Amino acid sequence: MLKINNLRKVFQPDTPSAHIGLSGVSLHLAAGEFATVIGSNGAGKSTLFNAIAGSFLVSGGSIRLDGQDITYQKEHVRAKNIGRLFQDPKTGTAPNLSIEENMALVYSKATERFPLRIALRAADITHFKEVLSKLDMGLEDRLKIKVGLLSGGQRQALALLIATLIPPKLLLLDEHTAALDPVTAGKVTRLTAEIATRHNITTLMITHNIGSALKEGGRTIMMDEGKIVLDLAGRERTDMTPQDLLRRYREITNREMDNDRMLLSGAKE
Amino acid sequence: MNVLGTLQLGFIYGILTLGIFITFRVMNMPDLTVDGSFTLGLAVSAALALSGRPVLGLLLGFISGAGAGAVTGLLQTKAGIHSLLAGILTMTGLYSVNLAIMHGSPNVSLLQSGTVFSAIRAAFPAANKDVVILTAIVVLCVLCFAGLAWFFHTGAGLRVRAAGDNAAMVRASSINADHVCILSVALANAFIGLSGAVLAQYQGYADINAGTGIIVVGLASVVIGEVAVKKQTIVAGLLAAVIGAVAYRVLIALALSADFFPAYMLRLVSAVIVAATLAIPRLRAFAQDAKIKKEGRRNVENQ
Ligand SMILES: Nc1ncnc2c1ncn2[C@@H]1O[C@H](COP(=O)(O)OP(=O)(O)O)[C@@H](O)[C@H]1O
Ligand SMILES: [Mg+2]
Repeated sequence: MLKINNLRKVFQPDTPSAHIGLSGVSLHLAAGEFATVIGSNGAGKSTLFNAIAGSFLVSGGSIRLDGQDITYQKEHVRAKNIGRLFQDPKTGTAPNLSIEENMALVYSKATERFPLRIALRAADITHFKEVLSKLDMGLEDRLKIKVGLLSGGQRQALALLIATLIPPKLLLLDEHTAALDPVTAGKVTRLTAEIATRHNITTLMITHNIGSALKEGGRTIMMDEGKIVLDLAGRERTDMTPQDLLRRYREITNREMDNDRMLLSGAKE
Repeated sequence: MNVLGTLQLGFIYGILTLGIFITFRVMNMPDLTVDGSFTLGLAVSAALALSGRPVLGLLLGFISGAGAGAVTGLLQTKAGIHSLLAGILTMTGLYSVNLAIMHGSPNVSLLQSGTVFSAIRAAFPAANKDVVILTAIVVLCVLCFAGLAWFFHTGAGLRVRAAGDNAAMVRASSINADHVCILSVALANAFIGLSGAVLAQYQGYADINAGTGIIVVGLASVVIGEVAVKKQTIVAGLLAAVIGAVAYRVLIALALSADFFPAYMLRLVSAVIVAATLAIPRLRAFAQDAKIKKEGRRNVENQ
């Protein structure tokens, strides 16, 4: 589904502050595969996501999604196939639009309705209520309230739902539970796994939680200095404890994993 | 105070305020194209009325306003020029364009030519002329209001609203944010141009300086309307814009007839209203801090 080959990114090339963001990342994900991504601050995890999503053009290498070369496709064009969530729950929704309007905005675009038609139809409302009720947050009865009034967890759950209303080919989650309290984070993580499984969405999830990095999905990718330094799957992964993983990190990089939000135990989530 | 005349002007400026509401409140972007696009509407409308096509003048006032807005939108998105500067550039360029449309003369009189208003008056010879004109203006203003209320519930309208609210989300939804921005500024200035076009035929002349500072008048109307209408839905916002424009005219007319200030002070009064209203949140926070400090000191003293 996703085929990344030798992806490179140099920030501010040809200047004294030139800086390597990605130095030859190759990664293949099969359709429906769910991989977690870990690494220290500045390892290049977000940069990799930005490159895939097209926030900037890469310096070299190629990105193919579902057989199509998207290396130089415009950001908003690839967004058709790529869903994205960030750490800040505010990024995924428009605060002054109501819940139903936020959903209609994305839904009417994704279903390619003529833009000068009323965006929100009666049938849509029924559909939105149904998907919202799966969140178990009571949002289905509050369709008309402004999203800015929701809590961070509710907003992030809603953003996740909206990003997958029409299931994308690829879902990029950049520490999307890091700003939430542990209980809510656990809820959103479970919801994420559930939605990805139900729609068979190929997913990359950056997480600061080593426990869920080993538990969620079927593969764990470790990044350091713009490279993938470890790619775990199968038995090797299921047998690994968070402590083992940190030891592996030390062996590979000769440093401690340094991430200000790193959580060791996955017990709560 | 001439009540009917005041209301007539109020609803004409209501159309302007709808346009200003779009950029200022929906898009969250102060657009300075306004002074130029308003005068552009006046000039185009006057020129076409002079050549005997007043209705076409209103239509082209709308369309040329949209064109002016689109230029500002293009400068912002494709040329990457800051929104304030983009508006100033368009506005400044339009000064020459407007003069060219008015054949180099700073004002054009329509006394000798028919306007939409002379036609409407002729259609209802028995009725009170001011009532007929007011009715016509109110109908046009309500049509603009209803059109926008509908538009902001369409897919395109939601994109415009979301772009002002969270541009990153719009891009992530595979919507071309540049196109949305250009469309929004064009739409806003279309109504501003139409407002100018109506005004030219209403007052029977076009003046090259008619638009000077009109942005502040529009902003003042928006903030006055928001005092009157507390609800925060998009329809309430549009309604507040029209109500604010009418209230602004009424307040000004009252102040002038009571000799509170001479007419030339109008722009200063408008500027003060806008500045004061926009400063309110900051002043409130300031007052709150002062209160906290005072109580804190008192607690220290009491210990
Ligand atoms: N747009 C940019 N311009 C310059 N440097 C950048 C840019 N984006 C990221 N970087 C740098 O690239 C490195 C990797 O950053 P990032 O991918 O955000 O790390 P993380 O793994 O913590 O998400 C960092 O050193 C960061 O400062
Ligand atoms: Mg990051």
